[in-house]
Amino acid sequence: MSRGHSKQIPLSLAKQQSDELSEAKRQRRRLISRWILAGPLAFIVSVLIMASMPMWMPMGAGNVNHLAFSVLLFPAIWVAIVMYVLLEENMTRAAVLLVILFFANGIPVVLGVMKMLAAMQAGGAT
Amino acid sequence: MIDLLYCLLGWMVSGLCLLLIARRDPKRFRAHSLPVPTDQRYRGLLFIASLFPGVAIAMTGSVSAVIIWAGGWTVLGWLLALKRPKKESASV
Amino acid sequence: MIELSQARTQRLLAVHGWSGTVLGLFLYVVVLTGTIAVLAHEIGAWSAGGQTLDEPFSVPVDTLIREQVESSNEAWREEIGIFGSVSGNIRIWMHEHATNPESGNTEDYGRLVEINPVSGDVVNDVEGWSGEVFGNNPISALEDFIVELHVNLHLPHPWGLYATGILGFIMLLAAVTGLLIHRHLIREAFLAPRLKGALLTKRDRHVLAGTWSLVFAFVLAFTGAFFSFAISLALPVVAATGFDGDQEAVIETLLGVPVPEDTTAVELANLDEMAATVKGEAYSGVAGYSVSNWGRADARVVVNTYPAEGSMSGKQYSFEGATGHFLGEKALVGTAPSVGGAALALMGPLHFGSFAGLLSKFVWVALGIAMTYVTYTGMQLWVQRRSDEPLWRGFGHWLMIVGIGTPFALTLCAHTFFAALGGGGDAYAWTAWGFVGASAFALLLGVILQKRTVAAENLLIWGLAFLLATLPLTRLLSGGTGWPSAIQNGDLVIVGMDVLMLVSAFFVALWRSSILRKLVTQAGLPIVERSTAT
Repeated sequence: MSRGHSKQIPLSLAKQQSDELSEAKRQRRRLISRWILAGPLAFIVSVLIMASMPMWMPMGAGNVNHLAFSVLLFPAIWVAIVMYVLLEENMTRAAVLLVILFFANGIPVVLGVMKMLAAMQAGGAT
Repeated sequence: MIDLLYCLLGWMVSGLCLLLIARRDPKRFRAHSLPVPTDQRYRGLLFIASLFPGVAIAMTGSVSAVIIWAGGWTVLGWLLALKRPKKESASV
Repeated sequence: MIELSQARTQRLLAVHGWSGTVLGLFLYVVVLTGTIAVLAHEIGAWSAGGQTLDEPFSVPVDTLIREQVESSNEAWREEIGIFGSVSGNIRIWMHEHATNPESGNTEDYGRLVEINPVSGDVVNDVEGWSGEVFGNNPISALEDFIVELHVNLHLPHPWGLYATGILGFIMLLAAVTGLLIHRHLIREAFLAPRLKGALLTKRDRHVLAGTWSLVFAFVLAFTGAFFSFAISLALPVVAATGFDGDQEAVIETLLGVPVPEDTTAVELANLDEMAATVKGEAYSGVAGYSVSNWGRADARVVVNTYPAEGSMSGKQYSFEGATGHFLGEKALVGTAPSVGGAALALMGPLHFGSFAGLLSKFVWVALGIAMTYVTYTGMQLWVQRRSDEPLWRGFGHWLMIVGIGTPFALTLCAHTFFAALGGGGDAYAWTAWGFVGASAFALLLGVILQKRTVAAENLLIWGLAFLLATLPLTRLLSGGTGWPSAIQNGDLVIVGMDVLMLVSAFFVALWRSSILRKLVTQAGLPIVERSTAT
């Protein structure tokens, strides 16, 4: 999704300078958001996907498919997300997609962890 | 032992095919300012043929031999290509 | 091959190069030690000076094991692992699950006994937590040091695993980005490195080796990242969401063990008879046993086998311990055969390359050498592209110091290890100090010869060749098994490892010595030309 970088003909020198400045600023902002998305956020989202996978994936005959695939696919999911962010031109879209993935997987995980903490407290009480 | 036999046979066939490709590979000779071999036929076919031992071994049902052969195939290709071409080798 | 826009290609190239350079030195150390660690078992046998039996369970062992277990603390019959040692003996690990007061975690506590299966003599006998009794056999010091460097970079748990996991991920990312940024993957697959200028030579070398090793770089990086993260990150995470935080429960599910409890005392059935049953099923030898609740009605015995020829992993068979009743083949992972279980079981063989004896190990070593080469030449290329800048030239100097200094230090620590074995010193400490000392020497050399990279390089390379060539001598002088008796006992691995050291020394010398190169060329053997431009 390459967006047009064609600049309008400047009305004055000052305008042109400010355009260049804002263009440089925009490039910088894109670079920083790409770093954040491909770096920490991609890692967190892939951990969340791995964590939520055992909740919806069927166990299969050996009762392990849900565990096996979440653990196995983790490096692949991570690389896939990082590669997607690197190749995506539209940073807003990448951000929206990662945030959706973050919440879609994060909410069940938080609920699961809360359940675990409750179980541990109940276990500790007895 | 049978794995070893499969792999050795497979590597021989694959190595021969890869060697034949290397000997008629245009980029290889052009890059070293040597006359480009005229005979460039069957290069695609030879490449597929170099993979054929893998299929043959797979048909015997030995998973381990297929994987060992595949590992060796990648190393063979690398080592064969690493050697610089000579003028006289530009023909088959 | 795959057409990407210029902006995208540049982005991928930046990620490929920067991640490869910033973390490349560490990745190089991990890949190099991984290549050596393929032969960990052989290094162990070489250190041990021979093996009692190549397959320790090929002789009757039931009486020997029973005697040890039944004379030990009854609590340790909860879990008993029985497996082979590097010396070709039997190790029996009788233990219970208890809370370690030091760490506060549930750990294994018990007694580890090593017995010679032929004579029945007890070779070693220690009691303690699993962390104390394992990784304490002086004979395994060298093997353990190399494996620990590969797995953890000698960092404390779990940080070492995180570090190597990230390095595995970086390698995976490098393979994927490398595939996408190289536009002429097929057209240049047979392009021998051009000797027209240092930049082109380095580029061609890196690209050619990278092209051919792409598939297995992917496999090895993926499985490596899996192993690091599975233990350090995935297990706790998955346990938290799927098992209310109970990691023990996750492992039990993976192993598929639960048996209804019955504490009635019943004598355990004969292990050798179980082995005989298994041999008819597996077409390969017994690699070990694990027994739970020894001497009780609910006892279970799982017999592990080596991989039969043609398959990637060994098999497991389970028996009712009390009656010896054969329950059939047990899935390696999970309660029944499944796609996920099979995929998990493949990770080990694919990463370690140990599924078909020496044949697969040699191929894996070759793959490892290719990966090491790709990592190293990649960094060289990145530096060469920026050779106008003093900072990068400086990095190039230190790249060489680490690049050759690491194998130099690994070889020297093998020397100190053998010396310690012979002299009765602490083999673990001597191995570690040998490595640290040699690394310090290489770094010092780097500082002294800061402006003379070629001189430092020559010194290190000749030093490495010398250390490799004299390693068999050090081993012999430290009381190691000599060739005649090794051959007589059929311990060919000792001779093999010695020869491997000498051959490696020859190739390292060949790399530097123009006289040797001339001799080899005169003998009509092919040689890959060295670039004249540096």
